[in-house]
Amino acid sequence: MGDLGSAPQRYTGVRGTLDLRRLRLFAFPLCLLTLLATSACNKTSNARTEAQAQSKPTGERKPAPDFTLQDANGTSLKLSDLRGKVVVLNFWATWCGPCALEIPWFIEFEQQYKSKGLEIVGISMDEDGWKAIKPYVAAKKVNYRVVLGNDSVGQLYGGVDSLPTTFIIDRQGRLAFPPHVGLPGKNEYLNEIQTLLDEKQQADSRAFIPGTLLPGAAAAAHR
Amino acid sequence: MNSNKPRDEFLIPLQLTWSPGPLTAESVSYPQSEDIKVGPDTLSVFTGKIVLVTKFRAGSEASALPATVTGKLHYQACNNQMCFRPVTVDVRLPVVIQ
Repeated sequence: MGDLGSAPQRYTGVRGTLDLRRLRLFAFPLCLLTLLATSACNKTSNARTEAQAQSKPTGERKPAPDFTLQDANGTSLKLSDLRGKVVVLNFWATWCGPCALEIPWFIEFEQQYKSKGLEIVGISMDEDGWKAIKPYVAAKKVNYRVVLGNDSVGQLYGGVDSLPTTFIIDRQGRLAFPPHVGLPGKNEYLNEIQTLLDEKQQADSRAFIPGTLLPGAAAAAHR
Repeated sequence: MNSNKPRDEFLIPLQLTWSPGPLTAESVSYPQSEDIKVGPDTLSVFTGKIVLVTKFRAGSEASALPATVTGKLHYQACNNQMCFRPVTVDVRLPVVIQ
């Protein structure tokens, strides 16, 4: 394969150099193109200290955009029907390695905290649909609701360009923390979940706002 | 990004395909991949600059003129914190058939 736009090659078998660094991908830092075990980039991406993980004051929390998606059985899940529960809304895909690392955590959270009002919802962004998702969730023994997402729902949440991306929603249907773009630590999730489970349910006249777009990228929506 | 032969069946491989045209692609050779550890898993990946070699064949009917071979490169990239959605880019290769 020749360089894009190069001079014509004679036919002898074509050898082309693919410079992965020059490929047009999404607009993200160059260092993210390289798979590294450790890097400065990884230390700063999605790095939040315990202090920063405090929930937003209730008056500053924006409503989570409402949507309806289907699970593997065709049953609809409407986000606003989960009001009264703490919801972990996780955008993921079967081809996402970091997503696979946090699935066992979600399984554990579902087991430990469902009775206290936690609901985990996995939104798969697999373009191959249930053909890819079903065997995967069966193999992983996923015990929480998984629905098939689409770009429209991704856009409601600021455009989900990378996976995993996770939102933590309080019992009143509001986004209580900045979103997790990438893989956080397990304790980061746990702290946020426990914080919201412990919050007293407050009467709130604000309901889920259907189809409300979060401005800008998901990571900037709550700065 | 994932190599052309990722170790997990669910991962998306790097794949170069060519459209029918003045030349027929007989084979595509990929470079040696690297193994890296991400959590408990070992991934087969390509990093930095790599070279893909395609062996083409010109049919007897091919005319000795400049021509363009077109194809698609499909890939999906991650680091150990996040993944980016699969991408397909068009590839155009000007050739001279002699």
